[in-house]
Amino acid sequence: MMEVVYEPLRLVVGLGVATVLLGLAVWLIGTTDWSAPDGDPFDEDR
Amino acid sequence: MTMLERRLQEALRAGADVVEPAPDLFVRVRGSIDDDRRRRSQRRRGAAVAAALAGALLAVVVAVSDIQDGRVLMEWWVLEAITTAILVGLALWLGPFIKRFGRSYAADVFRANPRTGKSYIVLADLVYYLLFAAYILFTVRFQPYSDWPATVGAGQLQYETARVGGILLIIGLLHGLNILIMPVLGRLFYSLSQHLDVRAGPERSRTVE
Repeated sequence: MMEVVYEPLRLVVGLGVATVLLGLAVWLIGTTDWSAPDGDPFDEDR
Repeated sequence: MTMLERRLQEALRAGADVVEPAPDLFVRVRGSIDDDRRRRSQRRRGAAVAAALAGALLAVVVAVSDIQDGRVLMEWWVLEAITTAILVGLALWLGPFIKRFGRSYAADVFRANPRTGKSYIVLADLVYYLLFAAYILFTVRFQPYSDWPATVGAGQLQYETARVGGILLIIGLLHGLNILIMPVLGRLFYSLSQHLDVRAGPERSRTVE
């Protein structure tokens, strides 16, 4: 049976890159105004 | 220029002379430009988020995989953890996404009683997250099935794909059902509030007297 052998350098670099990209995604989500352009439809004058 | 054309021109000019631009015209044009800019920014940032998440997933896969004799090997629990993370990410993205586009629909359906509409959306949100959490907890594996090898094989890939497909199917069906049922509920709440207003009317006036 084949066993997975982890290369420490690849593990550190890969997980480091993943953490940075994940952080970037979280930052982009947090700093973007995702609200709809027309505002809240429940607050519209009808 | 013929007589008819001249008279038409004069009539149109006379009509245009009495038209005055709306006082908030400039504000509305600026608002429209701002909305357009915001929409473009949202699309750009959305694409950047998707690219960053795809890159992060790829980096994790490269980091935890091993290549032996031309075969890519990954331990079974790594794929299980990645699938669970994808399901959690899907829940966090899909909920606000559906709500964003469904809010106008709900506002139209509950236009007679918007407070009920807002409560309905909050409660639907709660149901959605409970369903997602329950599904993830029910399908997560803490040990591999007996026919799974220690590394990822076709059987596990099939299972993990079915996990993602299963939640998409459940949410899709419930969402479709919600779209169909919501107008009926809106109508029902409207009739109910009208009925209660009519019944409470004389009593209210007696109380005031």
